[in-house]
Amino acid sequence: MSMNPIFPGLTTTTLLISCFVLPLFSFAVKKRRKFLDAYVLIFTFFAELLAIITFYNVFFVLSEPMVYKFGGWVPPIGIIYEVDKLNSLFGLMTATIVFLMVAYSTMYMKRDRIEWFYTLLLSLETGLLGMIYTGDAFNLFVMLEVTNISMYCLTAFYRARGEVVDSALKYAMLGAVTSSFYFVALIFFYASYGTLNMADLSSKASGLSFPFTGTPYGNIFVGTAIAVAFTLWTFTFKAGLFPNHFWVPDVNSAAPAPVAALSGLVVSNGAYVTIRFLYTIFGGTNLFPALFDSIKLILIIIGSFSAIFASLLMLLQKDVKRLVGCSTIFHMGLIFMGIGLGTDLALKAAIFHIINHAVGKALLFTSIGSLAAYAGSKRIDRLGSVGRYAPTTFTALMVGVLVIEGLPPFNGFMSKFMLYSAFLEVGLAPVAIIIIVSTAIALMAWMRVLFSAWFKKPDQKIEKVREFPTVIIPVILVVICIVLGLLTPTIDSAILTPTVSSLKNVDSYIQAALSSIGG
Amino acid sequence: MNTKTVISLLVIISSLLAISYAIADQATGVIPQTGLRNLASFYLENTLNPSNKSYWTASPEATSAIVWDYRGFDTFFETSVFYLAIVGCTLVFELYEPPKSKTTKQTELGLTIIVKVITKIVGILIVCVSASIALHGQLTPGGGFQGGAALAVLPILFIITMSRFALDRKVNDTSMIIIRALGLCGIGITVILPLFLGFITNNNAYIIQNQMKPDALVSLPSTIADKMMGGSLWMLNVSEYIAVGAGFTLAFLLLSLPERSFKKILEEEKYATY
Repeated sequence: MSMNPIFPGLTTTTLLISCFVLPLFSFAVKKRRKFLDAYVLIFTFFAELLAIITFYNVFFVLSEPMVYKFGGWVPPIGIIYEVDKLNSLFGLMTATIVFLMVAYSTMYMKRDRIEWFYTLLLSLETGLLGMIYTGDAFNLFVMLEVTNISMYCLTAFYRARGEVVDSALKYAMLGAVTSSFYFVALIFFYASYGTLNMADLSSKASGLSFPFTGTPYGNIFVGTAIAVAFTLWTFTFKAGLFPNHFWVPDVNSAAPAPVAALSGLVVSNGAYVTIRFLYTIFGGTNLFPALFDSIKLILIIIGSFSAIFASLLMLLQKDVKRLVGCSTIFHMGLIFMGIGLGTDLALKAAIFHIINHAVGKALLFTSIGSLAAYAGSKRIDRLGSVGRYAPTTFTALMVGVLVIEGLPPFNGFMSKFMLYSAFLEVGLAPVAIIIIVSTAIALMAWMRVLFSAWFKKPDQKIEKVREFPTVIIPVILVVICIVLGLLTPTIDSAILTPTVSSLKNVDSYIQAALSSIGG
Repeated sequence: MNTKTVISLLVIISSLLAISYAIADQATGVIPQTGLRNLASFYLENTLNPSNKSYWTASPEATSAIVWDYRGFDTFFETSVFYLAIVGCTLVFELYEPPKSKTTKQTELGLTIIVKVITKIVGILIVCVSASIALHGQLTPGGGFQGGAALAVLPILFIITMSRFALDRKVNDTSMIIIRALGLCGIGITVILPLFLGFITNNNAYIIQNQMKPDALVSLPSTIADKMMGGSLWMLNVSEYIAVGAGFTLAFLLLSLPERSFKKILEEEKYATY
């Protein structure tokens, strides 16, 4: 092997240690704010570098997934990180967006208690990357907890407002309950399969035995059905899919803008884990075809329902941040329709749409966060022509809307079009029409925001606005969106197609774990 | 009963029935279970196996070995979950100027002198017992978290008998935050220590490695003065003990803030949420 596989393992470990140490510095250093800004930027940039190295190696150097054994323990005795094309791609996306949002926070967040805010941002990135890189189903639960608790606390950051504490508490209570469902699922996985390692689960589901753990213990048909049902309950909640969607608008509205943007990565992780379970762990199995066919059909149905329902919900919103939250539910619906369909084209569309949605959401929140701060309100009817005072930020918002609603030549159009073609390809034209109809409804909702922010007469006088330096981040995101849109054919052939073919090659995932056991 | 209640009840009942059905249908293995699972017997056979050290942890306590060595990476992050919970607690409840009591005399605060003296005696015992739980984590049931949780009884007793203000004078939030961060640094250092040892001795090494592996010849000392220390296990237990003890104390200090003073400060903190 040409490269030491330590990089993904080092990413989460370094981030967590940096988040342990941060409070010490906040007492020791005189110019606290500047030091802490530099501190988070350095560590998130370091994570970004490691994610790039991992991505490059997995895609262009190595031929099989990269395995890192923590403590030197071989799977399934210890915990491994197993990085294939899918999670190295998501790892790169997560590290990039977190780095940009941290950079935005250093300019945007002006209040006290910033040391705790930064600590939680670092831990949120730890949790997100850990969920992505891990090759162990229980470690996934631990990293889910790290992600969750960071999100709950970050949501409650504006603690003096009643509605903020209310949303954070609701999110925390429901999140804790649904996370426990995954724990129940893990009990069933361990009890019937006798293991928690993903490659091991996958190999047992395909009817093969695995070193150290041998063969399953129980009736794996019933065990798998229960465990997968509970797993999907948890991760469709994380992904904000109907009917587990209700936390998304609340959290998006209550949390500070950079955190609301990062909640786009939390929902993406819900979709990622669903892909991992359906296509890696249970992708190679032919022991229970009816079970997974019906699960995928259900995903298509609730995905379509989510899309329609959320786009209608968008029309009713008065708060622009809640509107973005509803738009997230809509996009998650589309993504889960793709995951449910499961053809090569549909999976490519789903994966690409996850990336486009996460980037688009970050773009929307960075521009809306600034505009709302200039206007002094996040209510749509109070945005009164704030766009004229901050034209660059407003343009970024417009591009964000075009990206997320999928107008050519932006990336959002490309992935929606791929999804549309995927449904036409299998002859499901009515489902394909749902994509168009819901997009049209969502676009109407967005027009209200754009109209209010440019044409509406202002309610109060707006102070002179300084767009620089916060505007840098939306501009960078606009450039990323344009590049992703223009380079779609290249991305399709160089990244998406190999990702989907490696995702469907379950054998190589199992073999990589087996070969790490060695002789 | 309205529709909402009926639907919730139906969801709960059907989930319970599904779980019961699955267990009855032997999804979790044959009931009653005879013998150990392969993974369990592997852990029991290898935890302290001096004749084959390629999978051993140098600790006779299999639970501690699983928690901090075989699956130590999980525990490293579980520690952070507790840490983050306290960070969240601090984020929500922290006051820049905590309220002070009007009186400075110790005798005017809290319960009677009898209770206070007894608390002080019990306090010493609590420290001893909790330290012993943590320090013997690699030998007997217990460990850092359990020891730290036992230690946390002390600040609660202190708050009840002597009042929050008395505790605040002895240990304020800042010192607790620093002590806790030092404990966590101990854990962080132990987790990456093998990498440095490997770098110095020019060997392969893994994050959170304890004893040597066939492909990584780095070991942390398994015995100190002929006493079994379990390599990294005792370092992790001691650091966890400090971090958890200080973390709980901090949480109790914040949670026992009088609501009135808290509300007053929050009213000054009026900023919009965007």
